[in-house]
Amino acid sequence: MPAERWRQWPLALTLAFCVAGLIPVTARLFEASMQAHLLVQMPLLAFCGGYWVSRSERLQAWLERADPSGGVALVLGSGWLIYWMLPLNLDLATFDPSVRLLKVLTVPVLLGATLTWSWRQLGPVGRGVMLMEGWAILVRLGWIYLISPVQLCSNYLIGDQQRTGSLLLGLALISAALAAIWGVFGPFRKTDRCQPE
Amino acid sequence: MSSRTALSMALALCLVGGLLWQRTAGFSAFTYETWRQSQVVRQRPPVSDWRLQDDQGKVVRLSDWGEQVLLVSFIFTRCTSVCGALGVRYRQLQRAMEATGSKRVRLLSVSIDPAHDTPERLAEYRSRFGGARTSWTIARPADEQTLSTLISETGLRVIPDRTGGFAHSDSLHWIRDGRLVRISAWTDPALEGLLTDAG
Amino acid sequence: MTASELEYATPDTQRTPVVKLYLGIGLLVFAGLMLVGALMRAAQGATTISIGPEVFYQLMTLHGAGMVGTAGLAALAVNWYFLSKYVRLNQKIFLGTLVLSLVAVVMIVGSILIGKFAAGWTFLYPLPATSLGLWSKGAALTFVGGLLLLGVAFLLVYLDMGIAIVRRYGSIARALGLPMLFGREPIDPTHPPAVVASAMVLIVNVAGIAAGAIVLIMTILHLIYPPLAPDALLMKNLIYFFGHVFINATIYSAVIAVYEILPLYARRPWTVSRPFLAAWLAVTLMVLAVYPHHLLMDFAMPSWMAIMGQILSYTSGIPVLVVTAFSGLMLVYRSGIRWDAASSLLVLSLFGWAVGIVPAVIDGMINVNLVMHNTLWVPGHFHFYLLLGLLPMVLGFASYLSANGQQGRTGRVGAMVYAVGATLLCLSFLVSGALSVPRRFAVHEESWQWLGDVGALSGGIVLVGTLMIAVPILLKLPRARLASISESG
Repeated sequence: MPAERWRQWPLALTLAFCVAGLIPVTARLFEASMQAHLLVQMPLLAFCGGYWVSRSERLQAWLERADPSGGVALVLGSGWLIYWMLPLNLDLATFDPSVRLLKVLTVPVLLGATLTWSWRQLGPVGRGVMLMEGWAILVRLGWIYLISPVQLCSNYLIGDQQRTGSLLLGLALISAALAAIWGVFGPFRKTDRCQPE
Repeated sequence: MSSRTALSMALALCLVGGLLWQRTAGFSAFTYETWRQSQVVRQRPPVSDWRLQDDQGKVVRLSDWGEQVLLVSFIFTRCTSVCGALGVRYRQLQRAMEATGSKRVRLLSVSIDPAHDTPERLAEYRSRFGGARTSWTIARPADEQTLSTLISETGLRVIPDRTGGFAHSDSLHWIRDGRLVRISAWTDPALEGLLTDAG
Repeated sequence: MTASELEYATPDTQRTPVVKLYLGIGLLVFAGLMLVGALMRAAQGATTISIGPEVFYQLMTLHGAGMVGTAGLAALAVNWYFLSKYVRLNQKIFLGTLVLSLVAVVMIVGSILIGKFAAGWTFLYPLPATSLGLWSKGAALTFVGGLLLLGVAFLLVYLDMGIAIVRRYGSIARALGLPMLFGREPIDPTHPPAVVASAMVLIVNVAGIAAGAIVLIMTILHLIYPPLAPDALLMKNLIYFFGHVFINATIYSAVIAVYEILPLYARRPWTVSRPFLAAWLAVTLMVLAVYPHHLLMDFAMPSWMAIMGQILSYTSGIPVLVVTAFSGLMLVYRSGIRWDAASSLLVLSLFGWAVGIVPAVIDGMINVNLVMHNTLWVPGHFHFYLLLGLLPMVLGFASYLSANGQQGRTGRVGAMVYAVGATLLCLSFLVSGALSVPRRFAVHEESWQWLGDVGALSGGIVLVGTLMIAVPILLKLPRARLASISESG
């Protein structure tokens, strides 16, 4: 009964959101290390918003009226991505309650939901640029964390930071290999002319 | 692209840009440490009259220094990294003060590890650099309450490292008339000027 | 053309207007920057003019960045025009690329002429951040930002090309002819060489732009926050990967003009064959890995990379070149070809590409490289490829597009003047290199100065030849509509 299961998506979503941000025990657990904070909690929060957009037809109908091109969502989403990439905000979110609240409430909406909406509305070229930029962000951020001479987050040790950098670079490497294979041999589905004429 | 879309995108850009500008103090502070520096310059937050115990076991208070500019750094004696450099820097500043005979500035090293850093250990820390007591005080918070007060008042972040010590800020905190007026890097060459300049 | 092919093709009315815009702007900028180049050589000659070293390095940066960018745009125009015959491309994106590129050009030119940025087009890290007061941080940021914008502009059009190719041919690999090459599918003689070349250019340039997206931002971050200092050798590798792939790919895009136009003259088709496909696959891989021949002097490079650079420099030019030059000559041989501006230029381009390999291979030898790489031999190497290979392809294409190649006596003489001037110019560089005249020197020793004068003179001849061909083209270009008619005939 897949249809039945899908009907329960708001429950699953709320659960994921609570685990990621609202329940202090799990939230603290994620925030305890930089890797988990940046690579698990933040993506999970963003995913909640993205999932919401892709499931809720009411929200889609509203967005269709408010931002049909997805351009506004793209600007907001990329801006908010930059905002939370600042070591300052990552730091403050671990000990300043108001910033933590800001993170938990806005990352799903202003980052996950917006970027998902713009992805849905953009054509293939725009999606390609988004993918390339996303990949480049992985590399740049990973490289910066790896070589930064200073401890960028006063709440995470420099070793933690370098480990996060290596993880990001590893992710970038894997995704580059996958993207190269997909880009050259893909998209692995039937297109207009699959058999030679 | 309709003009409405373009306009809303421009507005969104302004909004996001404005939020970034606001948070980073005009695109100048990207880490907590630099942000703390910019906040302090703007707000000059008051600090309470910390109770400290120096390396002779005597209790001293922040108000004892009166009008003098107090340069406060945070250390712990087991520290194997920057705390040593901070000691050398303080000794260097002290020599410059002795050479000019200036009494405007006083130096204060505060331990963030009071449980371990007894007055004897603080005295041993001093002996590594050989600075006189007159212008350089080395102390620990007299009680747990003071430790948490001074951490919250300066916005200092202290986290345990994996070797039993602490990772902490190496900045110098300028305190004057019960206010935190500036936070600067310990390497800041402007410090030499501070020793002699009036005002 | 069959009905189903027409269905895929870009509508004829959309194919030419933007291409004309590219060519018009490209030819004008080429001519202007040729003048800059001649000025630099004249300054090194020191008999006619003298310019200060600061201005010299600004001009060098302008000439380099400008020529690379314009070569990219012009080659893209050739590529786009012929690819649009086979797949449906988006004219708006193509125009968007041009507009963004022009904004980038304004940023780059502004940073050089107003901001006095002079770190060379390779913006070799950490030079942009260590200007010793010659240029400001803002100028360096503007220059690097301009290059970043240029990268984004090209990414847009390449993505559009890629999507259109996949839509028709199923995947980039099929467009490159891999299934045919490896026997999974029979050889399809109607598979256009232009599509094979486009697939190759697409692969290498997207990879190059990805490297650029990283290295440019890292340069910007270093400029903003100097303590963040990435590894200089890694940065150099990325810069050369980005830059070398980009400039290398221009000739592989522009050669499509040869594949598409020469057959019309020879009245024989240019069909794909297994060696042709093998050559293009080999080149796809080699162009990605050949850049270390510019880093052979960096002793800290791992030696396997240097050896790879040497081996690939030997081999990289050869596959396509042999296939293209040989097939080109076969095509032309006894075909009763009409020799006009376009056909002469296209055959000249094959000559330039073929002979350009010689200086490249010599410089690619590690032991030679250690003494030759910092001499004018290297400008000789890339001017050979670009001035005798790439530019004749672009000029031939422009001439064909605007005047059906028929530019009369002026055109033929212009092509001749151009060929003589360009050969002389390249020789003046190569001879200088052989005599150990260093490259990137604003002021030359007295004993080297005659070579600078020869270079300036030949640069002037090239400019005259270019103008003889380009001016009539530019005048006709706005109203030209011959090309699409003659193609079907």
